[in-house]
Amino acid sequence: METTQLLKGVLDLAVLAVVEDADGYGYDIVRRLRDAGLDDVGDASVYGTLRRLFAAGALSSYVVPSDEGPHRKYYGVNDRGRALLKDMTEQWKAFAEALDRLVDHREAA
Amino acid sequence: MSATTTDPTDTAVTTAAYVAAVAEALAGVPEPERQELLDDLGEHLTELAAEDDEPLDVRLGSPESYAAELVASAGITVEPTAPHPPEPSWRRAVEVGQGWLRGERAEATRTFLAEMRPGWWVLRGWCLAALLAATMAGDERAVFPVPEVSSNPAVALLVLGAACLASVRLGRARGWLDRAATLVGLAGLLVAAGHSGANREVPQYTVGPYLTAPDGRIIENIWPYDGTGNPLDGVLLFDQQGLPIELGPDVSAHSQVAIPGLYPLVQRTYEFDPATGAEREVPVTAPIVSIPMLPSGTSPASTTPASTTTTATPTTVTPVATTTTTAPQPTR
Repeated sequence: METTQLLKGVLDLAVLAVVEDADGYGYDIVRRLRDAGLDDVGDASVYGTLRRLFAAGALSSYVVPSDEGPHRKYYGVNDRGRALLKDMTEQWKAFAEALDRLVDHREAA
Repeated sequence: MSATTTDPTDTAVTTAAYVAAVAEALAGVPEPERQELLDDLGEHLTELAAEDDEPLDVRLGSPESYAAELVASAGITVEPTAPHPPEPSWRRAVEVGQGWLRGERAEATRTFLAEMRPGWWVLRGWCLAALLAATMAGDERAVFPVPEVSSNPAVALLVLGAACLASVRLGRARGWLDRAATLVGLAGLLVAAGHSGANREVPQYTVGPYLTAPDGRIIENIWPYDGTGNPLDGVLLFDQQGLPIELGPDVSAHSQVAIPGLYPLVQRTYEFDPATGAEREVPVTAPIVSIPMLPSGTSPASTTPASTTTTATPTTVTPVATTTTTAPQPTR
């Protein structure tokens, strides 16, 4: 199964989870998602998702001057984002458990 | 955008070019969103480019697909726009045309057309015969497949053969007559096309709008009755604006008296008479209706019985059909 297709549905959750760990800027978040094992995550998808979550009021942003390069736009999760993350996490767990059961049951048979 | 070196200025140039291409691909995005998307894309991609030697378009795909992914994940709806509007389309068309004329395929096509020449000559012969048939003959004569120059098919075929033969001879001679024959042949083709088109023309009928019953039936006539079941003649019907109620253009056209809103319409229908084999005119007579019992105390002019009548009649009416196939025997 195409991992990119799977990622599409859960990218919001993945991005929120990573940003909740620690605030980050676009490229930093892409790298952390990849480090977490989501190798196929699309750069543009993460970038766009950050914009959308920000526009939806789930993320706050601030600009940090950088000594070696350009200014960086950092994103952090606000209360609304945390509530969203909680909802999504519950949904994901229920979904993943159901699918696990389904797949395990078939493997055992 | 195919730099493979690690030269930082080179990377900066390719990154800037990539960002510019993404920006162009985002042309359809509404302005505040577009600016927001592009806001720190440059910095973001610069950082990405610095991480690795691999060029951006290899790592990220084409700028267009990057832009598409960006827009999709950012949840923005985009009106499609032409990515390269500035170049005039006619110049592009001329360039394509010129390229095509110089190409190998064009050469092959030219050779092929030249080899087909005898075929064109024969076709031209047919066109000449068709022109002859179309100009000299009446409207009823066919031009295809054999132009009916004469009512005798053998003569027509002979003329066609002669025309084709003459056309081929002219073609082989290649004189001014050859060129003239081509022009005349083309004229023949046009005339023949117009001719056969005219013959196949289907008469046009205008249909509707009609006044229809709620079940979709076309109301062809209105037969007023009074409360005691006597058919009324010469009743004028008007709508809420005081305008005469008319049934429809075709229906009204069949009526004999042209007073708008006057009912019942005096109509004629036509019936095939098996004895004489001719059609004869049959007057349309009133349908057999059942008159519902009106509530006592209501006059026929009041509105309540009218609505009762309309709901009650359809189940009991035996209408006189106005089509020739189902028309009952008229009273003589």
